[in-house]
Amino acid sequence: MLSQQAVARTVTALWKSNQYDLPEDFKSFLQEQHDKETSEFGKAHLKANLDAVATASARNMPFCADTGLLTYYIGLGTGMIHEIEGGYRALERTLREVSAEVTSDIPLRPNAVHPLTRHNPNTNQGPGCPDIKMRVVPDADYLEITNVAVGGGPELVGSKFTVLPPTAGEKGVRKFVVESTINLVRLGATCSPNLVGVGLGGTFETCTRMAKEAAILRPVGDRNPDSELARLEDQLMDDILRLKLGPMGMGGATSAFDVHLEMAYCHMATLPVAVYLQCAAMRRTTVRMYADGRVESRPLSSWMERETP
Amino acid sequence: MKTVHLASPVSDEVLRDLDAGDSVTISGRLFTCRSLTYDRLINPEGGEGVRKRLKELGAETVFHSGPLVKEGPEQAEMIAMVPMPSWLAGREKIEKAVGLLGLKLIIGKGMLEGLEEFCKRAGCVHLVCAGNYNEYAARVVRVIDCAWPELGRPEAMWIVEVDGLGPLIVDADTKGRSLYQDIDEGFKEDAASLLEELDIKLD
Repeated sequence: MLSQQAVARTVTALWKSNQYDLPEDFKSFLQEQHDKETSEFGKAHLKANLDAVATASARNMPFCADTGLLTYYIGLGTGMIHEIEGGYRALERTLREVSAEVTSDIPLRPNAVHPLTRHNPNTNQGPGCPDIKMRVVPDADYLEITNVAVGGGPELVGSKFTVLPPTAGEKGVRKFVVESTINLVRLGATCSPNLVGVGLGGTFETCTRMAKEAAILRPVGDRNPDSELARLEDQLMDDILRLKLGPMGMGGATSAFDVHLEMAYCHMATLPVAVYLQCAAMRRTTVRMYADGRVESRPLSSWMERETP
Repeated sequence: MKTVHLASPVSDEVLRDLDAGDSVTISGRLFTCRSLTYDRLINPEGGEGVRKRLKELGAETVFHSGPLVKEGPEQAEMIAMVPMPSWLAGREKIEKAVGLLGLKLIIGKGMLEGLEEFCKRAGCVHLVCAGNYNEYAARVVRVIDCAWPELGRPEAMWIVEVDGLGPLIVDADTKGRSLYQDIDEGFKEDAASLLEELDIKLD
């Protein structure tokens, strides 16, 4: 039986590690780009990113003041359904409580406010906050928890959705992705470089969900297993690099970490496309917990693992 | 491009010598401000008390930031100070606050169209961040006050004293130049062929 206390302890540790340090793929990308970036301002921005992370890790403090909206991706193995103390409701309660505790203890910036009154309880708690997403994983004997802190930049200026005419084709998709990236990064509107997530097809919410998950849950350098989609990822990356928007939109070779694209079939009348620009402040960590109390740290979330047809 | 340290009070001569693209550090008193905070600050009656206090303190710098603050038993502590896009505050509000308080330095993120003309008229500069936000916070030597805490910790106004906060980059100088505008000219050239290929028209 997995105790709620063990979940709370583990999740608290995850928030600390992902607020204090970047995932390895992001850190090594920033370091490599810093070493070869020739734009003076671009290089300065990349150095600032790296310095902030080094300072944060050394002092045990968050590396960005926008510590994000707290989001959990939960993979509940069918073998664990009856192995969680108090059941799934208790698990949700634990995740909510931990969110308030780490907000005051780490501390995190209380970002969750009422959309109209702007009331801020200073706890990162409210309807829909923290954001808990759950999926049942068939034939698995673990509870997988992925913590992601979603920054305001990607949510405020880094996201776009449209429905193109059904025959707009690849060129139409490229146009929308490039145009959105220009509008979001040009003149320093959002913090760049970004990991560009693209949702292609699906319904209204599936399309935007795919774009966001492609940006935040897949590692730098990853390619879609479908070779045609992988080719489109490469094409979009080439397009974005040609813009030379650079770090903070100040010019340079480092305009994006990568482009990740996810596809779902859509209604024949539509061609939905969504774009999500994750900034350099990537906070993601994953663990698997087992009924016997084992905790296994994972380099990546399995949330994106695709169905086998 | 030169590196300049600005100690408050900053003279008009020193400001006139700054050029878009220069790197600066600053010492003196500043306050943080976001969208809701601006509404309070420029409110004729409601903002009067805070405006009087900022003038008495000689605060001539506004930092568009919702900082990460640790509430202590005696004093609050700045953990990190991240910039907010200046366009999110809005040019009208910024111009009003600069006029009411005689501000000299505006710290933010990204370009705000038309701000360079205002900076020229008002004799102030717009600075953008190129730094380590933890180090910015480490340059806060004292938290002087917190106005409107009911707006929530990030949206409240934090009045602080800083020593050597930076590096910051001059975007809009007092001569009507904007670094982002200059960079944008280069961008338009670099991107021209792709924009044509994909039939993209820029604003």
